[in-house]
Amino acid sequence: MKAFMRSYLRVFGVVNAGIRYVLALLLAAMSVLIGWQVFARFVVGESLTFSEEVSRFAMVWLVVLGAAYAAQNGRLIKVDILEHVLGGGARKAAIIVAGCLSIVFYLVLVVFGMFITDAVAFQRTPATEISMSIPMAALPVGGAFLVLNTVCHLFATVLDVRQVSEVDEILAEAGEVER
Amino acid sequence: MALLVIAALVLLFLGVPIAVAIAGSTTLAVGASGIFGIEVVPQQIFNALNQFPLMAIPFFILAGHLMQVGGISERLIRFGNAIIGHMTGGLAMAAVLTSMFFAAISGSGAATVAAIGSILIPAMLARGYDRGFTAANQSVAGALGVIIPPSIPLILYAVAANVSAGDMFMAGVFPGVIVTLSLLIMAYLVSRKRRYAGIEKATGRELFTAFRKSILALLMPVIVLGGIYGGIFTPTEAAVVAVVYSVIVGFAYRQLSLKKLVDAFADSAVTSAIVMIVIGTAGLFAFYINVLGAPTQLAETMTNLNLGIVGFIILVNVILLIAGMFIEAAAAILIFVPIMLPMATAFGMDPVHFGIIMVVNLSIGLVTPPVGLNLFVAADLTKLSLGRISKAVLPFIGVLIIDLVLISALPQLSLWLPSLVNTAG
Amino acid sequence: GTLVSKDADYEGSITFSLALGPDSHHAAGAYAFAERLAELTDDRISVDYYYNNALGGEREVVEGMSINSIQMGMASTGPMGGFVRSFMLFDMPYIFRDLDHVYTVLDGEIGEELAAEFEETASVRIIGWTENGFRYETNSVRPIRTPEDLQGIKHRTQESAAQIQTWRAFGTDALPMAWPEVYTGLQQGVIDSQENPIATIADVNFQEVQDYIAMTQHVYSPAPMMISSRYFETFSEGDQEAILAAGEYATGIQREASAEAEAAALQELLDAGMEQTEIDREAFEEAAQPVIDDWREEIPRDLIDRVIATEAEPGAAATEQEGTS
Ligand code: NA
Ligand code: NA
Repeated sequence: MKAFMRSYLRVFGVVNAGIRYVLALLLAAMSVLIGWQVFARFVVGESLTFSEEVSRFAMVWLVVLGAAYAAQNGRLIKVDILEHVLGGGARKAAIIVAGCLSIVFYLVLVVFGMFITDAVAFQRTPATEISMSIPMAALPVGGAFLVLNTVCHLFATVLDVRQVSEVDEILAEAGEVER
Repeated sequence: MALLVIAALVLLFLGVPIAVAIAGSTTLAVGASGIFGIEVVPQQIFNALNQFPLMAIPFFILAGHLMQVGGISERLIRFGNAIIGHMTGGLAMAAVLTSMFFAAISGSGAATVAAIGSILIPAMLARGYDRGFTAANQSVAGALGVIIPPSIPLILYAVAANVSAGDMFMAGVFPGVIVTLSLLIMAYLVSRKRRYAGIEKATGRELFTAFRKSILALLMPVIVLGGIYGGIFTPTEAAVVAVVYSVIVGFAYRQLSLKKLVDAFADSAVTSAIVMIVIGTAGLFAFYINVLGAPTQLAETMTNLNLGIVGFIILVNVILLIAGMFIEAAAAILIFVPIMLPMATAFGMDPVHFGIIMVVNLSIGLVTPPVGLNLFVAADLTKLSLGRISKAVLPFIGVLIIDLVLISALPQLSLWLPSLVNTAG
Repeated sequence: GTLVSKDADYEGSITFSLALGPDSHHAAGAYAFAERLAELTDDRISVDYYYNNALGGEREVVEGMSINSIQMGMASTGPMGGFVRSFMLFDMPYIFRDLDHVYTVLDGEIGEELAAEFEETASVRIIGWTENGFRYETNSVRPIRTPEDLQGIKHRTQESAAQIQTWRAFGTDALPMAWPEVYTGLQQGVIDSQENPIATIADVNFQEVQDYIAMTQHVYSPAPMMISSRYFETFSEGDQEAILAAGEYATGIQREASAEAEAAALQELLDAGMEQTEIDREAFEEAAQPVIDDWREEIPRDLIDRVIATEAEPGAAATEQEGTS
């Protein structure tokens, strides 16, 4: 079992590295589109017709995928009193209970997210006239990655793998030394 | 409604992510009520996120991040030290002042603590400042990040309350200055009592050099607010202009590389997602309680209580201070605006002023235990326990509460600036 | 949700989402609906209102009715072109001549056809062609009489290909912009011009940031009263009939309230100092022609030409009002 957990973590290390690039790309696309919108209005006196819609949909994808990415080491914002108060086995148990409850909700997102993605498929979006399913699919897909990455977090907790916390992350970003 | 609240509290206590606590409990309530199908859950999360003005959040996070990578915090600190560092308690006051400058670039409180604190905290400790005071001073100064524009909670409030983000930004300026002044006074008085000496006084030339080297960063809020009120771009677009500007400044300071750029985009995306997933689920929650008609009922109950406007403001502040101890500002704004704003407007309060009260109040939550991101970051930088930091921060919270009373009691502090630019524009 | 059929003596309430506030012409129609429905069902069925888009924007509300998370609503046809292509009809400039013409079309064969198509595709039933009314251009640059006057003006449109095309054809720099940013945009001069029904213009106080209103009437915006089909079908046959009858009754009242709101709002704009201009309609129609030609094939079943060819029944608007007041 532990061997399986280890290989699972290895595989998802790679998957998440990929997601990280997708996230950078989404934010870059949003910046370029809206930046271009401002610029075009200045210079050409006209603006793109699709920039706002495309960047909005990119943002929805960014949020759910980014949340899934953060879930791999339990970085989603939470009230972690229990984690701080408890130690050892009890602390692990608390993390596992919270993780399992979260997974139940993420599965709801996946299943009912597929329902709603299907239900809105006939709608065309105003600017780009693509199917409304394309932005809506962010929820079931993001839900699936949330499940998979929460499992990562649980496995890492069981295996006592050191995980980067949100505070570590903020400090690393400020110092830019550890990267 | 009772099921919803109890389920949310239990989930929160068990340590599931706040987003899951909000959406999971709402899902339970929706399922139990049978008013509509569960597919509403993902649909409403999507709707809450699919809003153009929210895009300012990732853009301001990214801009702050790029500025930081571009080496701007060092430059600002040099400037802050040159202005005020020589006075008694100079470094402590420079931490406050520099945080104010940085707050006007960064959209986030914890990022301000990290950026300024990682440099100034070691410097303060080396000069013999008390560890607890140092940590508390820096984490409270970081709370300025959300009062001084640009600020993510201000944007969120604008979206939730349907008021102009530009007006919220303008309204935050004077309250931000008041909080800054009060913290400067606090740092000075404590330092005088404990005899923390200043650093060497900067010459006129050194001061000018420090100013010149920070000027590009100091100009950022001017460009953002000037652009909005000069009719060049909308508040959301201003955020992307800030991004472009930061990239230019980063390359101008020769601090950016492609690798750093990619990292900044990826890290900012993750930070944004962590904040915004809460926004999505809070939208679902707001939809559900609206369907139940809860805000209207609560507003009626409140009116019948005959509290009067003063009683109402006190009640709101107490509720938010308690809530702010446990949940962070973004979630609190989205949960409480739909409930509290109808009451506030029924009492004749200006929505912009009410928003400033909420944001100042919730910024205090960033430095109150048990959940306060600024405290966690400062604790890490000073290697102090949460317990010791929490004790050290208490007098500062007292000061912030006095500021809060002032800002609540004097609407003109918030409203004068936006009214001025709006009539002039 | 769980869809249990209701008994003939069902007692309960319907959730009704409104884009505007409790004093609006939309609300007037919704109240009339509730009143007549109560009469017809011996006070068994009541209505709960949600004002000012509390349950979501227009697209979200229509989608909500489509999946039965919102039971009833009144929303402009703006987002409906995305649900059913035919509704792009209401983005076409200068195909409706006046209210007589509009009501003849909507209360006749074409209105029925559109409603049937919408129910088929989106599972939302249109029970009355209530309205936002004709739309008008306002700006802060100069009075508008011909398309030439619009040259180079920065005009805000919704995010619709047809609207952008139309306003470029009129000579403006057409810029799509999200609604929440429009007021500040006009105030700060990011944009100079916008278009909306007069009641909306006054409701959001554009007179504070705009100086001229042109009586363009370039498009007509319905805001149909709708009910989720899945929800509608749970009612007993008798109650279904009562809902339809109440919808028909409310339509007349709402159109009347809309006309009154438009007149009152126009007065409010003029009192605030806005200057009103009449336009050279022929010049605008001519400028709009290329747009019509482009979309003639896009919009199914020859709808554009059938609307244009419909002879207005003289007094369709007046009869409507007499019949119901
Ligand atoms: Na800020
Ligand atoms: Na707190």
